[in-house]
Amino acid sequence: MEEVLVSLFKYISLPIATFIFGCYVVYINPEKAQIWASYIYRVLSILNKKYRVYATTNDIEGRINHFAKNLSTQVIEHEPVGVKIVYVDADTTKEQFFENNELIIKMYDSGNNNKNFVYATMAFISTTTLPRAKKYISKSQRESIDLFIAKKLFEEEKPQVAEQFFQDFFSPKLESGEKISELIETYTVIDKAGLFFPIFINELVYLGQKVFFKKKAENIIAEVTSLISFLRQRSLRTVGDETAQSVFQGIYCSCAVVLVGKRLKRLSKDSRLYMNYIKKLVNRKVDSIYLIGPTEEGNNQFISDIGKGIEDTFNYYKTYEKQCKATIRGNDAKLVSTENYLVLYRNPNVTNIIDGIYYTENIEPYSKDDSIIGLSE
Amino acid sequence: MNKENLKVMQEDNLKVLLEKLGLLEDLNNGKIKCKFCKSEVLFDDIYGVFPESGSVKIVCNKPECILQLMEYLRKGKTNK
Repeated sequence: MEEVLVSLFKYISLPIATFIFGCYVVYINPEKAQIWASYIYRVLSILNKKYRVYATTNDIEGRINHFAKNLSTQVIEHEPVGVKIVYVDADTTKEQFFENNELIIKMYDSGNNNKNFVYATMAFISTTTLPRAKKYISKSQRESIDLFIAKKLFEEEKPQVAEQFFQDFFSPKLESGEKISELIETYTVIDKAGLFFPIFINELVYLGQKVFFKKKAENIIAEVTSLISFLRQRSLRTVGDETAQSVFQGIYCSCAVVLVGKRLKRLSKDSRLYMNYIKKLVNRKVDSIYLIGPTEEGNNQFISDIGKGIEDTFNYYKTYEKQCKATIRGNDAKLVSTENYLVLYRNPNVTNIIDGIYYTENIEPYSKDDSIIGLSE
Repeated sequence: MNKENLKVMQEDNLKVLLEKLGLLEDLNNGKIKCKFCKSEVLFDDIYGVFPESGSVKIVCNKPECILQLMEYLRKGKTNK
């Protein structure tokens, strides 16, 4: 890239080179370009009010779409969905309103741009986040996920709007429902440990891909609750704590999260120690196996070795690997920043149509099993 | 990236539309109620409007009503 830039400015005149470079930046990052455009329109709107609309539109679209694009790097199965703000003009007739059959959101005039941003974002997140998985989870789980993701969006994309969101949405909702408040607090904990999007949200995406002929809603909700509890427990553990459960295995959320962290096992570099109970997981036909562990003392390589064993022995395939920042408790219970290495292996024979036969053979035998909560090593 | 349309209307234009729909006078007189919380809605309180079964539904900007609206729309999309 550097060489290209140097060549560009060497052989072409500066204005043309700058223009070409600008076009390239817009092409690879249109969301950022929209945000910059919104600043320009904001300035122009001082001269002519008609530019306010363009400023608001580009601001909202650019920031939401930038967040959606980043989300797709954290949630492997997430197909990024962006937003296009469509202004309905005053020429719209009564007949067109009924024919279009769509919600129209009121946009406040300038001076209330923060409100516009918050209200548009809430509409977008509620309708586009996990649309399929939301069929299976509880109302409080749905609402808390939307609120948490919205909070993340505002904090990352436009912190000055976050206060409007907290004032208008977040605080009133937290005050009204203890369950939602607890869930959001838990998501915050899980997210700090780097597990919220790559594991929890990813698994909800997979859950949404399934069709359950014989759905027991309360069982699915209970299992999602268990997954949240497990991830919370993992996120709060202290470095060196070897008493906490290290495996979660679900039926509806057919996933296993295996922590490759125990120091003695890491240092032994003997992957067979993990392969034995991974075999049990494979026998129960789990769809996803997440290996996660700290990136220290050659643990990445150890995790990769275990993963190679999963691939060679059980034909699961690597779908995703990522190093993610995490904040965990050190030995003195103080928070420390660290990095985890996460790899996801998927069953090549995932069944998404869960009919009566599949349910009887693969779900019912384990539906009362306590091990659904987690197994200690 | 796939994009979802989000239809919005500026305040002045919305007033024109509400007048065409025959609701502006009732709105100014406090006769319009929010679809979800059933409380009186004035123009400043409006979050959004949508058609349903031949009539116009108005949703106020209380967080609970907005979240209920989203849940309502989600179910509507699922049933399509």
